[in-house]
Amino acid sequence: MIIRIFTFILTLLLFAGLTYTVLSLPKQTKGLGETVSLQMHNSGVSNPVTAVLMNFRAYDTLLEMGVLFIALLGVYSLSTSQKEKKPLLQSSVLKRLGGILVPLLLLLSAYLLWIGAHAPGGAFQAGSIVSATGILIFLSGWKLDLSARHFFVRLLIGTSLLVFLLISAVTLFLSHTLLEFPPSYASAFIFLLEAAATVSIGVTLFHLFLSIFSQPKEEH
Amino acid sequence: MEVFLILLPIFGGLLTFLIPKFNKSIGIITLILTLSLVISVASQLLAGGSYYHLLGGWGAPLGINLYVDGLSLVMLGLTALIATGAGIYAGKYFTHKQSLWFWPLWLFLIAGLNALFLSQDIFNFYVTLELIGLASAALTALSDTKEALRGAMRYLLVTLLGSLAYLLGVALLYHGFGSVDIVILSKRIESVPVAWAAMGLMSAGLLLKSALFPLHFWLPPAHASAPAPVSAILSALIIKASIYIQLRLWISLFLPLESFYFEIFFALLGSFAVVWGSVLALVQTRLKLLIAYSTVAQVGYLFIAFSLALGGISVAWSALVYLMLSHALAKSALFLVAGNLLHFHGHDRIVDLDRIAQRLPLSTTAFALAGVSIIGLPLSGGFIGKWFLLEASLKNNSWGITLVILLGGLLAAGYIFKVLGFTFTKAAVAQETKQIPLSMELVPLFFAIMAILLGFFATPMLALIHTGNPFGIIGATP
Repeated sequence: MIIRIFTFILTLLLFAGLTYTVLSLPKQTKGLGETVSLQMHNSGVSNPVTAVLMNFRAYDTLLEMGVLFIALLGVYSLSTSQKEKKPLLQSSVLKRLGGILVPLLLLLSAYLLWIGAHAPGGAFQAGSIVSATGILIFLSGWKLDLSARHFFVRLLIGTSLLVFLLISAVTLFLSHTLLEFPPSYASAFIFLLEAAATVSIGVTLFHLFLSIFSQPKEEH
Repeated sequence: MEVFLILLPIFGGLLTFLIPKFNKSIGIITLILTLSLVISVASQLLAGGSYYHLLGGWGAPLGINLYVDGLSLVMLGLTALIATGAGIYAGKYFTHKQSLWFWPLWLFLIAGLNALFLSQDIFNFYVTLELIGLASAALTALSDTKEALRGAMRYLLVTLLGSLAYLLGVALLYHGFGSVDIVILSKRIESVPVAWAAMGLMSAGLLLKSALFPLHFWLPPAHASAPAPVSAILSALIIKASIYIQLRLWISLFLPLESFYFEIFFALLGSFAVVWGSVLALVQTRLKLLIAYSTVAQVGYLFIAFSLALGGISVAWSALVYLMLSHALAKSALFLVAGNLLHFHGHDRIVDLDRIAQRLPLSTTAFALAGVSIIGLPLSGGFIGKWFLLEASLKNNSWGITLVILLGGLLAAGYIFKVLGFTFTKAAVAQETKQIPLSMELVPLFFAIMAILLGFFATPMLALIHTGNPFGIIGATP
């Protein structure tokens, strides 16, 4: 009980301190918006978010793809092989609807990937749609063996990192600077990175969802 | 060359995932290549002084800068050395099924650590913290026991909480001063509420990750239940990684906020950590828990040195880095020996150790030598670190700290000799034993010898550490 009261007071103090800080913040700060817009013409894309994620701070994105990969490996290492999966929902409507929705969803994801260069969109959004498509396929009971036992599936998971490494090698060869895109090729490099990231993000998120249905590791 | 320290382990890690059949050989080759890359980075640093790599060719504030100086170099070297040694050990230690996940996780962990030690950008630090946090939590859970799962889960929650507190601080600093690059921020920062809040949040997050007393509660269960090579890297490097960020932040960024109260704060917590950790280590009955509590105590020394260094005693910086290096080597040796004993006996109860000194002489020697450095007996690396620390405390006229350092050494001698005593005796009950591969005995011995040798090469090592003046000491050589 004493610990709870203590925690409560501590949290309250933290809340008060943070509120005071936020209220004391200047309303307008310079940030980096101006710096970004000055360099946009060299970035190869016209959407500033994509420019930051895939060009100015592409190195952060490389490491973040590593984080996603590690998260999936962590889940794999805790679970054993998947149970024989039965379709969760027996419904002919779902099956029928799936047949229409799956190609549509894939088209939508390709569109989001493409539009990311000049408007909100990009690899993360497109990847989530790919994984949602996978979940729809799985729930409607279509047989689709996507377990990581197959080399091909592991390759899909690693695609994004492999393409990042490939482009890293190319840029290091061209200019001795990691991930420095020549302005005339920047949009092609960025599209390649985003397309690969879409595939990996889609498959990874889908696998994280599937892991719910795998048996937990037995405790000794 | 320095970017290959990040790209190569990522590539190797991917290959071990794609081609699990050859994961062990790919892993060990990658680690050895990483070690040789560190040597070429070192020669570049020694030839031309500290240098930047402007990623993407943009340069801060738009892009991210990597930076190499003496401090980052010794941390990179330590990482490569311990990762390679513990990796060779792990090649014999893990079952086939565990090694499927061990190798990719391990290599990504090394990539994350290297990226962290090269970074000069507070948001990039956050990404590397996530990478090493997730990888080490997954590696802790690999040992497949109930305690390990519980320890790993608690560790995961703690490390996520620490990262989030840190990230909130990053957001505040960006909003307040318009950059995430340390050098640019350090020119703009002023003593305003947003800087104080960011300092508080980031420090709290990092202290939680470094397990400074009283935030050490998560460390013993996680470090004691993880597989031996993972325990070694957790104690040797993961804890040090968050301390390293703390150093980088305080040296340049938070300097305008520095006041006498912080020195007292860190000195007090550090002293408590030394005494509390050592006493708890002394009363443990299980070897791995004893070693884990010893880490709690050693983190205390690091923060005592940090507090003295903040107070302007420049020799304390040398003490801090020397203690980090020697503790990392000695502690990984101790954890690997503990792994050997656990494998040999099937348990790690200290009183039931059965004539280890005769039957596993190499492991016992490794334990004794590493113990010498942990206690800080003359000529070892730990001795040099403590010598500098004592010198700093005397210069500062902090008699209380001097006393704590001496008491800590005495208590450390207590728990090391307690274990060594039981290695010579016969246990009350007969026990079945298992053979141990030679390489699993040689790796900890190598680490322990390195920890001792650190004491012999203090002058060149210190010159290396201070290359590029990482601590901003004004007009001074070590």
